[in-house]
Amino acid sequence: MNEVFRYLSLGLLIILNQIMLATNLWAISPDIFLVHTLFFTTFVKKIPNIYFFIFNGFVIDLFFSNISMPYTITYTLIGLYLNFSNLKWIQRSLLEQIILIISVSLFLNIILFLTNDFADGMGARIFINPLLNSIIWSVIFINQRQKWLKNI
Amino acid sequence: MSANILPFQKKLRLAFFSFIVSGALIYSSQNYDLNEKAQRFLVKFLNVPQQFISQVLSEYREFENQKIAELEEEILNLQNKIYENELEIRSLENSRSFNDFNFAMNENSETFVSSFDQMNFTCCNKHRIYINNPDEIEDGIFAVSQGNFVIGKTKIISTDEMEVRLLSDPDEYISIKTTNGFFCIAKGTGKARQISCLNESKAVSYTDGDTFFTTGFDGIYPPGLIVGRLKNISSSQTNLFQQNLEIELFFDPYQSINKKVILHE
Repeated sequence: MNEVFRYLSLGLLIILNQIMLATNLWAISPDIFLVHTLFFTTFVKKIPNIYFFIFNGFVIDLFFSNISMPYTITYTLIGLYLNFSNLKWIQRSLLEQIILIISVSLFLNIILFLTNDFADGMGARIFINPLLNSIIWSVIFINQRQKWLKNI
Repeated sequence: MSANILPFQKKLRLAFFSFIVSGALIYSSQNYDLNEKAQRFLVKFLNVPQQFISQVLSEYREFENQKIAELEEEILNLQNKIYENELEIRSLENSRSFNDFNFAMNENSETFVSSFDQMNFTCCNKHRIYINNPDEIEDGIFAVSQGNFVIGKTKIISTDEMEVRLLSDPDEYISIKTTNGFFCIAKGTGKARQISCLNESKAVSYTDGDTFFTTGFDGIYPPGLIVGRLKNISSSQTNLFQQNLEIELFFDPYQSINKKVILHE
């Protein structure tokens, strides 16, 4: 995944997220930005620079949060974790990965709701979102596991 | 994705700078109101395609509605045609000359169905249609038919309209017979297009599908008009010899509006 594609996909995801917000699908859908991050932890060879993660989070916050904090902080933590980790993300056990995804999603959603005034029905997202994100990761994991085992 | 093993000092430095950069970005966005500006830009950016899509959708919906209305009208016309043809077939089946197959009213002096009390028909066992009164008849009871098919009899007559009680009305009775010579007095059931009569003796046989005609014994309906067809025969639980005959009427009030009718004195 080259740089241009990375930024282009981010732009498209911003538009998609805005459409989901406008159609009230946002509350019951997985966090497409986190899923995007999960995708490039799986399919790229080199982890992007930590500052890329910070910039990514900051751009998302600019468009979808009243204060540039939830995504910026979460992405900073994700960037630090991925850059400092001694093990590759895909080398970790599924349980470990799911626990991390749920914790990050919960953390992100809690800050999102603390810093923004979303509609009441959106509160359900705090619980639905981590679940959906982990389900999506499980699907990727089950599909790609064999390929990873060959390459490791 | 490869995992880089960084020395602890570099990790510490990187973490420190990361938080400094994050803090600086948060501070500058807060200071220059970047979030509000970015969100306004995004809404404006997506407004043009959104308007275009909603316009296309509304035009498509309008087109669909128009098409639906046309199809519904076509269905109604076809249903009307089917009903008229069905009556025509029944008439020919029973070797009757149907006086006039043209049901649509075309002359001012003709009597036709002007309205149908659908609400009382469906809810309250009151089966009525209304016909116009071109000859300004003042009183009397008349049998009403559509060609050779019995509809009912007049109940209340006013200067411009006559109320007709349908055969399916629970208060309506009619003397009927089959071609085999089975006679009975049928009563309205209160159900749409349905009358019933009881058979005390099984001397004369009858089967499902038999057509019933008026006998003329009641002095209101002229003999030989077509009433309906035997739809169901059920045995009484209390009387072994008694059977209940359900007769489906050929006249359909839902298809009757603006159809020509005949008054029989």
